[in-house]
Amino acid sequence: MRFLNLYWRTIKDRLLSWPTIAASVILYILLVIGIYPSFAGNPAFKAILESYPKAILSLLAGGGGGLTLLSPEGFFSIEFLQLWGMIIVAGFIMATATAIVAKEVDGHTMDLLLTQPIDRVEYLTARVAADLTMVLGLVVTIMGSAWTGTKLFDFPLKTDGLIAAGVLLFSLYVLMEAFCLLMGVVMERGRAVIVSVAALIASHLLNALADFNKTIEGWRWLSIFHYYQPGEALITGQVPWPVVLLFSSLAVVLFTAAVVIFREKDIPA
Amino acid sequence: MPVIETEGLTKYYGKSRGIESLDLAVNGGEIFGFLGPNGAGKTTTIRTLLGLINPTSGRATVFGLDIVSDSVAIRGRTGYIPGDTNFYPKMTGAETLAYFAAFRPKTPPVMRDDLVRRFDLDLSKRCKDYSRGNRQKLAIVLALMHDPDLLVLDEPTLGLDPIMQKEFYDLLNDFRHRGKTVLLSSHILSDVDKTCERVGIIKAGRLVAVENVSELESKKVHHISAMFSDSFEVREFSLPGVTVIRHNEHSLELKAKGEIDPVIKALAAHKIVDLDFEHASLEEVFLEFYGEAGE
Repeated sequence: MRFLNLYWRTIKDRLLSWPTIAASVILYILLVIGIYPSFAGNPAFKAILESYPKAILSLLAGGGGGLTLLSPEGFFSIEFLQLWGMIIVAGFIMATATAIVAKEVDGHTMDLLLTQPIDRVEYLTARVAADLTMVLGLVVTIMGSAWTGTKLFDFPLKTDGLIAAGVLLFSLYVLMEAFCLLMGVVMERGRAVIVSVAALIASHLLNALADFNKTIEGWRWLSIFHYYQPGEALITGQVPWPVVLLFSSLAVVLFTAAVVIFREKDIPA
Repeated sequence: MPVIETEGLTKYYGKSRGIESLDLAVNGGEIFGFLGPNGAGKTTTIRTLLGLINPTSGRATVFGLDIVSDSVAIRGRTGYIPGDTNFYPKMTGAETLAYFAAFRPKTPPVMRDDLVRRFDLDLSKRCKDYSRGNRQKLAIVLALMHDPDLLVLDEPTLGLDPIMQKEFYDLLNDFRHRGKTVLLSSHILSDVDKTCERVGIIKAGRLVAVENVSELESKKVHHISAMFSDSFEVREFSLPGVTVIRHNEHSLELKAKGEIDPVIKALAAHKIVDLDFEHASLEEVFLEFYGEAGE
């Protein structure tokens, strides 16, 4: 009962932001998929793309190896799954996950909640479960929009590829949720958001720049984007289970750390 | 058996002291006042008892349950009113009460409607539109609607107008008469006068005394300023517990500790043009009686 009360309250709180983001995602995906056929076979576009410095292409692809904007898988992966999908949905996750503890503490509403008969672990679990439900909804919306795009336009993506990339994407979002939650537990909300954004950008840059610098390349393993390669999943239709397992395990570790710290946390007056 | 019992309860925030070796016992069915100047450790004690902060050392029980390991069970039987409550700004009063009521499915909010009527609270407004007084009323309804066994109050009347303060203290007396227990923290002596049988006095994180309210009454300090149409001799006011602060031919300012009847009689021997009479602040009472104990 207490779990469900917290769960549904969290869902209700997101009833304005979630549909807005979902609608933006649908419209953006259909737009990019819709315009794809107009330039995919265009030799001029191919020439422009080939004239770009390798570093720029690598940055765009997030160090995505041999992906090219000229294939549907490469285009969808680079344009959305590694760029706009990351920015839009990661923004939602950062805003919501850091709010679970930090916003309630900063706004002094945590006092009210924790003077009710609510266990702190139950509180975190219910709120995270609600957020992940909404994130799962966004992943389904992303992949559903892409699948619809393949039916409406000349954009051949395999259904099993979309499912495999969706599983990978969701596992990455779960990891982000756990990281942002932990930041929200250990620091005030403004800082938690800044640290989360900085960590995401640093991770992207580390992976992208590793192609050009031997020293950085040695640290590439630290970047989540080194493991997150949705283009490959789109092409092969295979879920990269070792990566999904790695992201899930890291998420469990971060969530456990958040629980342990939150249980000991003093709620300031 | 005490409802609240602490033994050597200590809380440090890093190197700074919150409370130190606090030994306190609040009996069932009493309204226990918890007095002390700002920063003395009242709020730290309350927040520790409610599980909002973790003690550094020592132990405490509420209803015989450990405040750390049985905190959820304790909070299930406890209502809490802080001095200033922040609610979710977009929720209405009714939504707020419904949301929090759902956390206690086994104890329905039986007193909700009566309390709302008593405090004349409009539940259709969003919390962001409530004045401070109305937020405090909502906090009172929220804390009491489940008819808890223990009420923990931290400066509960801040923001309430005098009529609502009276209503609140009547409510506390009803509550006590039904065998419930109240821990009332305040730095306002008059709040405690009206309701409590016993008070604990905390200073610099330490409990310096537990007194019956009647004993505290006798220790009250009063400030008296009088202006006379005739002249007087200062020695007329050389009475036990009385200190003349300043005077001239027709006016007198003094501080009286304890019994004030002799002072009134001495004043009445002259024709009074103007008279100011006020209780000293609680802080002054502390300095007067417990100045050294908490240093």
